[in-house]
Amino acid sequence: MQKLEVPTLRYQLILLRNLALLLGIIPAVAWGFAEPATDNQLAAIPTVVYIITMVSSSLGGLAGTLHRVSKHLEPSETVIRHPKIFVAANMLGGFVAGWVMFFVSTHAGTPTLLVQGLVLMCSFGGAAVVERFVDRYFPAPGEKG
Amino acid sequence: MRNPYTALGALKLYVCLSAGITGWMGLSPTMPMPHLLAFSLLLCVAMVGLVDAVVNDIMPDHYEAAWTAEYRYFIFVVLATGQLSVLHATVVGEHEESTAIRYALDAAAAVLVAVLDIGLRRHHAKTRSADPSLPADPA
Repeated sequence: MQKLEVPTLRYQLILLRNLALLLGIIPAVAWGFAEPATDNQLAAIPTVVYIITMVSSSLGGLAGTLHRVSKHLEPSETVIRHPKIFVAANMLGGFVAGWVMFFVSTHAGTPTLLVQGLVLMCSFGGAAVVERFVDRYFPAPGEKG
Repeated sequence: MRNPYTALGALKLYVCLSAGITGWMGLSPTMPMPHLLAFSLLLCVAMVGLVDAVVNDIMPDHYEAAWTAEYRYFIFVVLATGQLSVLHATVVGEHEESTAIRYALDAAAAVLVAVLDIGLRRHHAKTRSADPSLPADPA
């Protein structure tokens, strides 16, 4: 049976930082700009806004993907392990985190012009967190997990 | 245009100018603080993108803005989100603009620049690994 490698302290700190970014700081900013929200606020949102949010949250995942790809451009760098899983996880992580942020900020009554920016930041953070889990739990063949 | 970097440079210039104009037109002393903050951020990021387009694409080769070239994809994703934010505000009636479709098209163009930039850099990195005498980054 293969022995699991204990993550380094730096790795754990980076993971904690990303989780704090995802779960704490950005929703706190959204609540900071909060105004009283009405009960039927979500029902009153036009369909186009949902489409825009879908695109914005995908952009966060895309930004995470491009950020990682740009790190692997130098010839000395290793190739991305499991590229399909990596891209899917990035996009999914960004998508989920972006929608969570959208609902939180809409409920909090965050000013409209800031909502999509917060969605992008949160989805980028979500993509980064999921990416690290992929790196951790999907090691390359012959490599310790 | 045969050189893909020239076409990308022209598109970059357009996207940054358009986003900069959107940010500039949105600034008004009567606007609430969050709106001023959003438009100021859009204007600042558009200026950074403009610096990248002018220094790395138009000026002679010995002038270089390395940081903006390295994080270009992120600058243009942020610009796309900025345009989508203005589109969001236009749809819900908080920002008056008759040509909302322009924001959607500009956002699409900004995403195209971000993806093409990484694609071209990846292509160039592969070419350079085959022929090390090529320059580091033509963009």
